[in-house]
Amino acid sequence: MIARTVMIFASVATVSFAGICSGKAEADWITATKSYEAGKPVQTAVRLVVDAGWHTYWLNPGEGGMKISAVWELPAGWTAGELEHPVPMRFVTGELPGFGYERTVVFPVKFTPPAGFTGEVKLKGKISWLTCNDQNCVPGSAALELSLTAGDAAATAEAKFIAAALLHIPRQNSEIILTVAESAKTLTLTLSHPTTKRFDPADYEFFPATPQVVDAAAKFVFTHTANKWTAEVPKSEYATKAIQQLTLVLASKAKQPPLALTWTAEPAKSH
Amino acid sequence: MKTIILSAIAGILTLVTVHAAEVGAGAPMFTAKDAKGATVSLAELRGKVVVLEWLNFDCPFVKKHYVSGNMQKLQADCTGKGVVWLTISSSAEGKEGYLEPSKLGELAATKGNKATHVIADGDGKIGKAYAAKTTPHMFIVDKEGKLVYNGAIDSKATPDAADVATADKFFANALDAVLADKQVVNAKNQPYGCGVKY
Repeated sequence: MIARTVMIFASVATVSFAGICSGKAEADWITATKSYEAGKPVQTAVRLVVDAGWHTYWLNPGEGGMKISAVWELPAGWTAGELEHPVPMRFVTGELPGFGYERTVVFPVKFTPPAGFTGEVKLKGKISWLTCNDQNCVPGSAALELSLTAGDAAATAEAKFIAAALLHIPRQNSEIILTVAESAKTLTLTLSHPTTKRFDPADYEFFPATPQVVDAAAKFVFTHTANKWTAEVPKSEYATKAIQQLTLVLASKAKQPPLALTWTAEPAKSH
Repeated sequence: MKTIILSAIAGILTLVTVHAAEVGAGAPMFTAKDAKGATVSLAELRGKVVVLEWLNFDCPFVKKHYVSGNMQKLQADCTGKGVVWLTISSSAEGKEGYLEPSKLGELAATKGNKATHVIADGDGKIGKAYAAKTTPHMFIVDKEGKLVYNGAIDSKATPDAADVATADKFFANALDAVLADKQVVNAKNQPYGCGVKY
């Protein structure tokens, strides 16, 4: 059945939105260029159009749920980048707080051919996701293919969708420093920033990208104290070992680019 | 008088504790009728290891463990070792997975379920007492009535039956430890699956 679906898909792959319907979503694989240059990354994206009333999940799905996964089958020497997750939204499924997406979500992913590579190639990817609403969860999967030829990497009609999607991908920010202090049931988050630049957490919505560190239902309320902003949030009940790392995603409420802030614990001192 | 008020307040606090079932503490006690009408009382099972499995046959994550035969095999292995296995559905009437008790028992039988008792917890009282979140969600109560495991069935949070074989067997390892009178190393972890349909 899957093989047959793939054949049908391959025959209409040049038509946009000709995705594979599975679960409560339609998936397709779009590319910013139909041709590649050896040694240079090709920007593509997996696009999921989720049925109205359903949602799919972020890389931190919260409680329950499941993030999208991809298994690539690539020509020799080609490498895949990360499947990048745009800024999510919050929802509650039944009684479980979660993070994810409704309707159209675009996950950018780059592929890089080795130096000196030539000829037409077919990239393959098996994508798996979960869609839920309050009543049900339905998994979906699609075996997608993308054909590329060697060439000048001219833009496709879909390039604009991918460019727009990239604006929703959080980028690591090094000016604002996140530190985390752990106590039994809570985490104290501190954001310090250069005094020369304005920064107000109230301009952003905060999401915990690292699973099972911050309680998925946590509200992030920062207060200002001497060039620092601090917030106390409930710890995930599943954080049973000392917390090693936390990435927060900051989604701008004023159409500024989303940020990612990462804290990593100091390695334990050895004697 | 003061003492009475304080204890009354304490009583209320206990009832509204979010994490009702704390690993290491006494397991919430309950008495319920199983799908065949027999009475199941957790207090009367003192002296036996008890497993609680939350179930919804329409959930793809539950299907994963029944289609692969993993859940039935665990049930058969455990009950063969004297463990009491309770398969519990907390789906409310009108919600996904709800069946009246006798129908739930019949469906479980056709799926090859080997639990000691199948319980329809339509009002969600047992589920809420344990804060059962997903299907599946696994709990183990030791011989002294203490909750010693609260978590996932295994490490791979997918609905793909092929992942059963390669997953870390969190629940099965915990049960082995309990039966061997050893400390459970991963006693609390995040369960995966569909939300319980309270």
